[in-house]
Amino acid sequence: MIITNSFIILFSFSVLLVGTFLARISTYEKISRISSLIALVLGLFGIISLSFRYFSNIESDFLMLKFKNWDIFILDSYALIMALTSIIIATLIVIYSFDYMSHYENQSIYYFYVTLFVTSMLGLTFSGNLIIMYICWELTSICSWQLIGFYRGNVHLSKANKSFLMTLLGSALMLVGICILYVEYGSANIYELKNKQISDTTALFLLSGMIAKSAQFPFHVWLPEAGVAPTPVTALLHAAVLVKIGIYSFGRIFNFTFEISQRFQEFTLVIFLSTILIAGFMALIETDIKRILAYSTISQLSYVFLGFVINITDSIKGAIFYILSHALSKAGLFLSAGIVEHNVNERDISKLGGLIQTMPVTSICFLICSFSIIGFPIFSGFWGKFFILKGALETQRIFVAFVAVAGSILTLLYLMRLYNSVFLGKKKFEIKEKTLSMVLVIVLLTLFSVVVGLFPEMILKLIKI
Amino acid sequence: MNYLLLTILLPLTLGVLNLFFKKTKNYWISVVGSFLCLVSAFYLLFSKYEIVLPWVKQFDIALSNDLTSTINVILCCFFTFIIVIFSKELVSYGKENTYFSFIFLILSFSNLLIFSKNLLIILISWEILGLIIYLMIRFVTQEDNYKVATKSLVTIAITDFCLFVGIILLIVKTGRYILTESFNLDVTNNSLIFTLLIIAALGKLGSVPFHNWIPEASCSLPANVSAYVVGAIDKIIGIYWFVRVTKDIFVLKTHLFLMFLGALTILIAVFMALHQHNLKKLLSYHAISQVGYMIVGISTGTTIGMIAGVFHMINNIIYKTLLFLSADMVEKNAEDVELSKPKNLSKVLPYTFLFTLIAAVSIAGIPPFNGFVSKWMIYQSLILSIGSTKSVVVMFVLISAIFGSALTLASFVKVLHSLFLSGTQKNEISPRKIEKFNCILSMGMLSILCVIFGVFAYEVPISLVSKMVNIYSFKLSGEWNAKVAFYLLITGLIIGSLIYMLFVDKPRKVKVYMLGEENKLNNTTIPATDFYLTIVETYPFYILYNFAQQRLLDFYNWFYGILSLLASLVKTVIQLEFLDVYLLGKKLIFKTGDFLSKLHNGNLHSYISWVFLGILILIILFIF
Repeated sequence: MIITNSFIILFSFSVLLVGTFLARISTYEKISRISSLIALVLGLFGIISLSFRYFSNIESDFLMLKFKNWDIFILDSYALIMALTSIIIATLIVIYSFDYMSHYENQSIYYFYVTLFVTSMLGLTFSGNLIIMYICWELTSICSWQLIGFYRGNVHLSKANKSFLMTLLGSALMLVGICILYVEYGSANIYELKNKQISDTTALFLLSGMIAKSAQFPFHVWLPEAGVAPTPVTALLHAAVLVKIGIYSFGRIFNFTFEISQRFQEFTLVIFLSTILIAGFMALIETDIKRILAYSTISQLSYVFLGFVINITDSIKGAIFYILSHALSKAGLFLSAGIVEHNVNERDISKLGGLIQTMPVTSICFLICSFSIIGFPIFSGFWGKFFILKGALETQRIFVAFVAVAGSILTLLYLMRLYNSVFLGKKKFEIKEKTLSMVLVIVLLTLFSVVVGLFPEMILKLIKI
Repeated sequence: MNYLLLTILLPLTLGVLNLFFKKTKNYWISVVGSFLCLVSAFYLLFSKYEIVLPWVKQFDIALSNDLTSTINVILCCFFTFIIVIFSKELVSYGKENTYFSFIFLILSFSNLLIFSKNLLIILISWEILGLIIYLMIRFVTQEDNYKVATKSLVTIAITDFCLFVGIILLIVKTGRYILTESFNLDVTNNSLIFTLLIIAALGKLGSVPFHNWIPEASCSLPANVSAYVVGAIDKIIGIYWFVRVTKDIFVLKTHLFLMFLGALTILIAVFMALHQHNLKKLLSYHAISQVGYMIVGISTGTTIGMIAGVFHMINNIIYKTLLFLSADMVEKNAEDVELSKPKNLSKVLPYTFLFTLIAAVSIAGIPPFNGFVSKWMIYQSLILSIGSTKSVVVMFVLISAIFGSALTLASFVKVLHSLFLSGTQKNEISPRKIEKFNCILSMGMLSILCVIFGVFAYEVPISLVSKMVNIYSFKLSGEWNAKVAFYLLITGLIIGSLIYMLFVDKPRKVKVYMLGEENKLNNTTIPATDFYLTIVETYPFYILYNFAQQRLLDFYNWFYGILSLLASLVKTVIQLEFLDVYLLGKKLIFKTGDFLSKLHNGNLHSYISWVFLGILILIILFIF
């Protein structure tokens, strides 16, 4: 049997779907966990082998992968990096969940939705068709809705509904955009739509869906509220995967497929620059750990959008790089916050303090991940921000660069405030880092952040624009 | 062997390994290591290396050495060596491992920065240095020191971000990222890049308005750490970059604003120092004040000014390190560095007294010590600038510089009086026990340098500095003979001592009979901290001190306050109902629902009316 790229993608999807199914039907929670993990690990192997084949040029026909004469999948470095990022983080989060979720009921539902979420995410990443993309898009919304409201309390359900409705509003508008495109060009196939013109109105419809999903101003309100979810869910949704969907689609549609107008470019710049500042300021005065990190996510995602909007090689390279580095570091931050919350049962930073003495590993990981998000050199976040800023200045957008730098200064201020309040100062709790798997995951994420920062070329050379 | 790489990799290795050494081994390994670094740095004077280590495409680690970089690296290595020798008995709360580790990491990244020809590597090493300094302040001192550490990090990071944007702009503007040949950019046409790059240098140097973290950090840091970070490394790197920007990247002519900023730095810092009761805080203000002289010198744009600025940097790190080390000795003996409590340490710490005296007269610019020579050259460069610019600003700067020097002397009279010449010594510790050989050796070397760089300034240091900044011919208008002055001074001292010993009657000490009451006669001496109360209470200085007391001169506080205010404002605005898409949508849906519900009121007449209205609309649609 000849192994093709299409076959590997289908294999990954099949494994993940089987894992999803097993996680749900199993009456034993242990089997749910294991099946979810095995499915993710096998899926990861599939994506890694696909990446190996792509980057070593084993099979040349990569652009559109057909299955029974249907153009379904698209495969390029952008899709692969996104898929790798999503599945690596998701696997680590599932390992982290073993301890975190161990004392909750309905774990099979949790693992079911997490695995289904990752499957839909991969479907969206590799989809070469706007309709399939939209279907996967909505599937992720449903999964996130169920995961945010996992605890089933009134508050949890109300916040979950809010998140669902907000993203649904955006995706409904996006669907209008997709329909207009279909009517205009008679195809929803991304390959066929390449280099076509897109009107500002259509672009605006599509943009609504993207910024709603990635929680950009003015659709940002749902993300801080979604912090009621279990921390692994928050990390998966806020940091690594869900919020990146909007960004990914933005890059796929507005950078790699259509040509957008200058006016639309300037309009989006205003949105993203405002988001950087608004979210940065909000994070500066919040007192809830998860809300601070959520605002931080909103603000940092705008940098990625900026990179795509500026739309030159360096800035796109920076944006793609920052998707990865932000996912690693922000997952590290959320999961570190999760360890604190899990052990101390407190999220208000004014009531925390001195945890460096009892949780030294978590504290160091939190600090390193913060440095990466701020954009200090030798940590992965630096390179993403560097190339985005370089792009901004190469296109003579000095104002954009200054706002981006101001955003970084705000990031420094709120993350150091958070770190100081939680880990330094007077010791208020005597609880230690008890859970090995949770600590191991944050150590791994931190190590990845440092390694990617020290050897950025290994990622940069994979980004082919 | 590649000595250039050795000066970077050896301290890097020592920095990492020190974390794992046993505490007893830290010191000796560090002494040997720092000595080897110094030797390899000296070896670079006689050989030239160029290395390119592949890293990130376009941004390979390109290193090479020239006279400028080599001398700067020698300075870094030398001061590391001095500090390491001194640090046998640390006042660093038992954290020897981290202390030595940070010292070597700082040295390694400083050397990398100086040798790097790639602008991005300069930026990266620069920011890493800032991070290490933050971690050092955070971890080498007590646990509750994080607020000061964060303040330093934020202040340094703000200026680092300026460097970040400045360097990217420079790369974009010139298309070059290698700093081998001069860029020769014009300041006027590229003022944004110039400003951003200079802000970074000012931040590193701790000039006004980026100075506020230094006194606070110095107070909580062991004095030897302040000596290394605030006294030496930051100044070397700051001036290195300042010279690179003003000489290699731009063609700088007289820059009045920078000169004015330098004068402001001199005045504000020296006035603040005059008022301080804490020795370490006082020294850190003087460290800031001296930066003003360097900035003034280089900003004159004259050849003498450039040489003077760099020479003053070298002199400053010599006497400032010496002063901080003396403060450490005082702290070890008296357990505090409060000047309001007279300590009379001249007999207990005789060497320290001598070394502090030498450093004090050097920093005050008293001939024939090194501080005088560089300050004298700065005055000359200012006089030349007055001639060429005819500007009142330059005149103001000159007056400020001279005035600042006088106030510095006044400030150190207070220090010497309080620490060594007044009060009673409480501790009965033998001088030998406190003034260990390693301390005397390191401080002695610095004192000798204070004298040599003053007396023999024109023989070696100035000519070396001029070559460092690529100036091969210059003329000093008001040259003076340091050696003659030195001999005259020595002769004067000998004659004075002889007269004192032979002809002056020593006071007769008798026990005072107070009729059984408490003897208050000895308490009539004025504490040194009250020496300059008149200045503090005089208008307009009163306003300055009042502002400082209320922290109104603290750039960080202003910055943080404004941001917090903006954040509250943003929160208020963002929570307005019409900006919340969710609330807005919810309201719209419910209102529509209410409206439709009101229409469906269960009344047959109403429904029939709607049917007819619908038919009417359909008819209109069909017609048109």
